[in-house]
Amino acid sequence: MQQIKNDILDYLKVQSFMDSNTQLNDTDSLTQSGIMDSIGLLELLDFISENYSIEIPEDMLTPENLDSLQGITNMIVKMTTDGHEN
Amino acid sequence: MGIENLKIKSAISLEQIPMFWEQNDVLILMVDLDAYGSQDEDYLDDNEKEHLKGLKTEYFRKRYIISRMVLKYILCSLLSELSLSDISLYKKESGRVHVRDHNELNLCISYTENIVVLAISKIEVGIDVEARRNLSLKTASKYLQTKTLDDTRCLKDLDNLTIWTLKEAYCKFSNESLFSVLNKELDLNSIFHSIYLINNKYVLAIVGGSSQHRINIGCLEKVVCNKKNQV
Repeated sequence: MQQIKNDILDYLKVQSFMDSNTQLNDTDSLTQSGIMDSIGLLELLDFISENYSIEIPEDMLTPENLDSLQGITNMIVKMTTDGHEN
Repeated sequence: MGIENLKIKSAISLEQIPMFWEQNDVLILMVDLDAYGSQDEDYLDDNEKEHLKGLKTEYFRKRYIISRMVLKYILCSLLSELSLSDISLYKKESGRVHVRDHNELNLCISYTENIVVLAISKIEVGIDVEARRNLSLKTASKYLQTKTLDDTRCLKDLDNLTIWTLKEAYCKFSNESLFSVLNKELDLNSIFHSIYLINNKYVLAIVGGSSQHRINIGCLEKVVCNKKNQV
C-alpha cells in the first residue's frame, strides 16, 4: 500500500501543481486544495488505469476514491486484490 | 456540432463593461493572470482569506487572489458601486460563486494556464476553458466517448480536449459534480451550448439555458488597482 501511495505522490509531484513548498496530507482534497484541476483528474485516472491495469467501474468514480491520496491508494489496493485487473 | 473560431484582437476596458452589459445577456471576459505582478490579499474578505489558506499551491493561490480582485472590479463597474468592499462574493455548496444581494447576476469562473475566464450573465451559464493541446488518453478516453442525447448531433467528431471542456461546462451549468458525469451521456437536449476556439489557443465551451442568448467574449484590459479599493 505504501508503495502505491508513493507512486501516486511521485506522479502528483511531476504532473500536478504541487511545488516544493506543498505539504500534501493523505486526506487532503486534491481538487479543493489546489493540487490539481479537473483535467488533471482525468489524466490521473488514465495514469491509474494504465499503470495498475485496472478499469475503474462507474460506481467507483467518486470523490472518496479519487480526490485524495488515501482514497486513490485504497481504491487501487481494493481493485488489484479483488480481481478488477484487465 | 461545430467549433467557432474567434479572433480577439482588442481588449475591453472596465469603463466599457456597463455598455456591453446592456447589449448582451452574457459577458465572457478573459484575464491574463501574468499581467498582475503582485497578489494583494487585501482585496479578499475574511471568508475568502480563509479559503485561500486551504489552497496548497502557489499557482492556485495566485489565480484565486487575482480572479477575485478583478471580478470585484468588474462588478463594481457593472453595479456602479464605489468600493470593492461593497461587493460580497460567496460560494454555495455546488461550488458556484454568487454576489450577495444580487441574485440577478450569474457567475461562472474557469482557469487554464495563465488565463482566467469570468462569465457574468443574466442567465445561468456554465463555462470551461482549456488551453489547446493534444489530450492524449488511453483508458480514460472512454469517459469522453459519449454521444449527446440529442441524436441529431454527436460528439464523435470532436477531440478529447473539446469534449472534456464541454462536459465540464455542462457540469457547472447543471451544478453537478464532475465525478457524476464522467461516464454519463450529456443531456444537451433543450440546452444552449457553443464551443469556441479563441485566438487558436483556447477552447471555450459555454452551456446555457434553452434558447440562444447574446454573448460577448472579450479580453479584459489590465485593471489598474487602486490601493484604497475605490473604483
